[in-house]
Amino acid sequence: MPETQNSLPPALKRASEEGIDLSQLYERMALTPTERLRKHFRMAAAIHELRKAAQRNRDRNRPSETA
Amino acid sequence: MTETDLQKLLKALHQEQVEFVIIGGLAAVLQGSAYVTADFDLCYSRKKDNLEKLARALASFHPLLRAIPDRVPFRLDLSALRSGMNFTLATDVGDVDILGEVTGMGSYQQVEAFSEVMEIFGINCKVLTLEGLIKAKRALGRAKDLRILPELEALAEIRKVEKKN
Repeated sequence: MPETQNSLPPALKRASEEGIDLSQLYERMALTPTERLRKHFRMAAAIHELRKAAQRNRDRNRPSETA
Repeated sequence: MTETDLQKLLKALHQEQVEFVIIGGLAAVLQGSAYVTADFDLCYSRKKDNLEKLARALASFHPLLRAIPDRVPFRLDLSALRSGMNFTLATDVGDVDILGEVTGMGSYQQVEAFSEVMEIFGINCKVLTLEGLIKAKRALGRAKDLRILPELEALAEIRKVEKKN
């Protein structure tokens, strides 16, 4: 992995400036395609759970219509 | 779509020997992207026997058209596939988009030229290359497509350097 921002090839420099975590990309490139998919589905499931929790929280805090 | 859903879908497509290329967000994930997507996009060959195989492979997942309100009765068969090109489907295993043509690339033959074989859950599948993904995303040009471009270009650069070493 290149050591400093200045020594990065243009595409990596641009990605880094866009806020992309390059270490995550190197990490994923070291995985097999199936391992990349498994990681993706774990992440997707976590996001799904967070969304459900946020929705439950909004429902709890919503003023009652009969009040 | 879950990991199990995708396994079921790939198994069905493989059993029927459907000619297809995995494209879109899941292709990006397979190429190393951290992008998170909920659907499965594929580009399929429009040869008659392939349309029949595709219809058979998807039948057990009860596909319905996603874009049509109230889910009007729909049967994904040879006739339906012949009368359309790109279908956005809701199925028992999640959203599945089947494309006969891909913007910026063309038909299955052109997409296949930008594909590589990857082993996924023990099944050999054709997946759109980083080069193909970049070409398609640039051509689509929507905000969500352009957002992922810097990451895809970075992955292509990493792969280029890795090949050199």
